[in-house]
Amino acid sequence: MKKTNLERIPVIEGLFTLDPEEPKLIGSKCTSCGTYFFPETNCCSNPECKDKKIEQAFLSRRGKLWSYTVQYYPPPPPFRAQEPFVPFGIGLVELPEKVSVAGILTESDPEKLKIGMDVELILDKAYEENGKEVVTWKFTPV
Amino acid sequence: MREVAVVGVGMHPWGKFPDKPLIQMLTEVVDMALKDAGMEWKEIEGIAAASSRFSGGMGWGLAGNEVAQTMGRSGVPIYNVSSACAAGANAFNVAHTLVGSGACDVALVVAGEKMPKGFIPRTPGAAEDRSDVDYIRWKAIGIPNPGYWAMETRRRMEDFGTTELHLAKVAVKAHKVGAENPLARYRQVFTVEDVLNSPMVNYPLRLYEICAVSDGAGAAILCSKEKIRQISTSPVWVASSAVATMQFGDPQFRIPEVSTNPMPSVPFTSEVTLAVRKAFETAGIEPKEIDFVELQDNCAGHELFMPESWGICEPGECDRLVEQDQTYPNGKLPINPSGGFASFGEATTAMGLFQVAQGVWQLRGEAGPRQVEGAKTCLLQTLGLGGNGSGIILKR
Repeated sequence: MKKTNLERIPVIEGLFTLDPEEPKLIGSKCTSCGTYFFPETNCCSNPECKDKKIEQAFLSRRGKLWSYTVQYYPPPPPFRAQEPFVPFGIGLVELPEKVSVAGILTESDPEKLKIGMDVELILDKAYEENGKEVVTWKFTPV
Repeated sequence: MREVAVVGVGMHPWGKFPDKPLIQMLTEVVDMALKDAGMEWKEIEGIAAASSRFSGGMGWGLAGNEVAQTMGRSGVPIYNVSSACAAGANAFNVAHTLVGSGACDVALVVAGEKMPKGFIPRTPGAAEDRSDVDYIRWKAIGIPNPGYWAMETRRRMEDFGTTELHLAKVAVKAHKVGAENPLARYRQVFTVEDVLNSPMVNYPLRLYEICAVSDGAGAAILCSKEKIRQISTSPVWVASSAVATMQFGDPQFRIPEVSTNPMPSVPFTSEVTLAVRKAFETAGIEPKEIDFVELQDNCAGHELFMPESWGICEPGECDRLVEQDQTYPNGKLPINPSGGFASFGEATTAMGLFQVAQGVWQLRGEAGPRQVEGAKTCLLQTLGLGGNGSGIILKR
């Protein structure tokens, strides 16, 4: 997390904690079949699961990169792209809870990104609005 | 199920037609299909239509009702099918079931779409709904549809050694074949260098390796074997029509999701794999026996992984076929002898009927320079948002 004096607010409420040291994604765990989900859900989507008892669960911050892309054009709204636009990486990360989660990558050079590499969750600025820093989750190589 | 034939098809050219209402495109293709079948509107006993995503349908996806209100209010049952890019093929499945079950002898299937410009964005004005993953993916990550295709393709490069050259060769083939198709939107031939020099959109996919969006419409007339004896035509038979949805545990990272729950036992892009396997099983045809394939090439990578996941060739074999130019219409495994989505652009819900028309013309031997010589069977495949998959096998 880069140092800033601005108040930080999440890009969307309820997806991650704002813990400055160890932010975590907020998901769900089915206590009946053990499946984890992201984002939070009110029902387990495993068709084999009968009881479907869902509770809130925090996901591990470290995982392995399953695959990635580099975004070379500004995504359309509601994304707020940086101006001038700077390409950025996007990856899908396999977490130990057997759920894979997508997110922006802090590395945007495809040659420096490797499938299977270890990455860690951070919060980083998405954009600034009304004197506040709007943050989203990103994965950074470790 | 009774035996069912496709006795007529109609297809509008694919492109951008800003001054032409969708309903006009739809009535034109229905007229073409009826003429092709040698039939009249009043002979249609049931209608299955694809609910278009971006245009028409009174805001409720009532495409079939609009067609009937325009062409003849004959009181027949109308089914409007909403399953995103699989809707054309799923509507075909409904029409096939209507005729195959004996509910009627002649059914119309129709689909059309007019697309907004550029890669598909989140619906303008859609609510900021944090329970909607489509909102989350756009707002918090910014991943567009080609981003998903890019990640799937990058993963294949890791697993099978697929290179950027393979991807470029797929695009070169698609455009070379599409240039021969009078209904295609893009009819320009590219070299490997042209493709590799086109702008990188989502690494590793370049502009010429990703399908654009187009306006398009298609229609088909399905008829029972009993009824077909009364009319004069050269029928193409529906060997099977299958529909499936995705399975829990599918490792594919699909639009518009932000997570997966991968399980090694579940097939990759399960909605399509299940539909296609069912189509082969029902038709009693071995995957390796199929004469050609029309598949949904949203990007060049699709053309490589899909035939392998259906058993048409072995894992990794598509790269070898592409290296040896064996996916051209005269090759060992012709893929998209129409020119595919790469040459036509994607008219989302209409794509299933684009494939039916192209498949029928090939099986009748009417495909001109793109003809797959001696083709007797073909597989048609679409994949729609929400985990909708379809597989159709036609034979002559």
